[in-house]
Amino acid sequence: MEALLVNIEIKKVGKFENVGGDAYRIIPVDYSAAQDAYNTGNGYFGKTANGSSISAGLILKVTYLLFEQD
Amino acid sequence: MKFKNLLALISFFLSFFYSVIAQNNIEFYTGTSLKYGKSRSLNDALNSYKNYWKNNGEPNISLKTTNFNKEICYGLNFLIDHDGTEQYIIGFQHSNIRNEQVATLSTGKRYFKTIQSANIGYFGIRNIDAICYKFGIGITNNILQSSFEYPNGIRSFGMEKLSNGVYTSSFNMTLNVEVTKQKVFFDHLSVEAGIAIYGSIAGEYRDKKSWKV
Repeated sequence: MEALLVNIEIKKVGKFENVGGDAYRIIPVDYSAAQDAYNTGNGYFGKTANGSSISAGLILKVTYLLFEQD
Repeated sequence: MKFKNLLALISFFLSFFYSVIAQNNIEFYTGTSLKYGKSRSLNDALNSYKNYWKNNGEPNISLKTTNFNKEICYGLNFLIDHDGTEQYIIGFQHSNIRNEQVATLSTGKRYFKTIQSANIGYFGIRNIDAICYKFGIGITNNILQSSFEYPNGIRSFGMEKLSNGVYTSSFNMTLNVEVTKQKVFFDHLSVEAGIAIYGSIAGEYRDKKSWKV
């Protein structure tokens, strides 16, 4: 059992909170324009990056037949 | 929904799955993939981040980007025999796709980590040569973790830096195409290898949460 014991350190550093309303908290496509807008306080931060993507590649799977028809 | 309707719905699904299980083969699989791809608007954002800081006090900023996405997946295939030579496939897959980009500044490192959790429904066909063609459509949960690592090794999502936070995008859909060849090694165990194309349409990354210390 001793071998199973591991040293776990738990740190409480804070908690996630919604920060809605702070419009700068986006990922702007144009950081320079966003920073200018933030500095001047005009509230427009331009286009925001999105999660769209396309990718292609190799795939490897291990398959186990759970149930077989007689 | 009323309790009676819920019971009726559960009964329907149980009877449906029982009929599928009773008549067909079922496979469980787990796998991994390495895909080369691009997220155009995110790449634009990272390049503009680099250019902004290059012109604003960080002339030696470097951006280490990778276009390789690592995926881990698992799922179930329901196989329906057709003429004893082909099998139709209806399946479900969960995929987790990750990518990380790093910008090195004089004050520390900025990490942009994307995580896509996709739930995909498949249909396809496996022919007599054990070549499998699958087409999938699903929904994804896209997360972008933007954190800053200080020279002492502490990585922060805190509000002390404007770009820090966990960003999520909404309205996410994915399309997936796979062509694989199966090789059976034991009675029930086999390996599949092939190529896959993955595309996703997703909304803007907007900050939902930040780490408040």
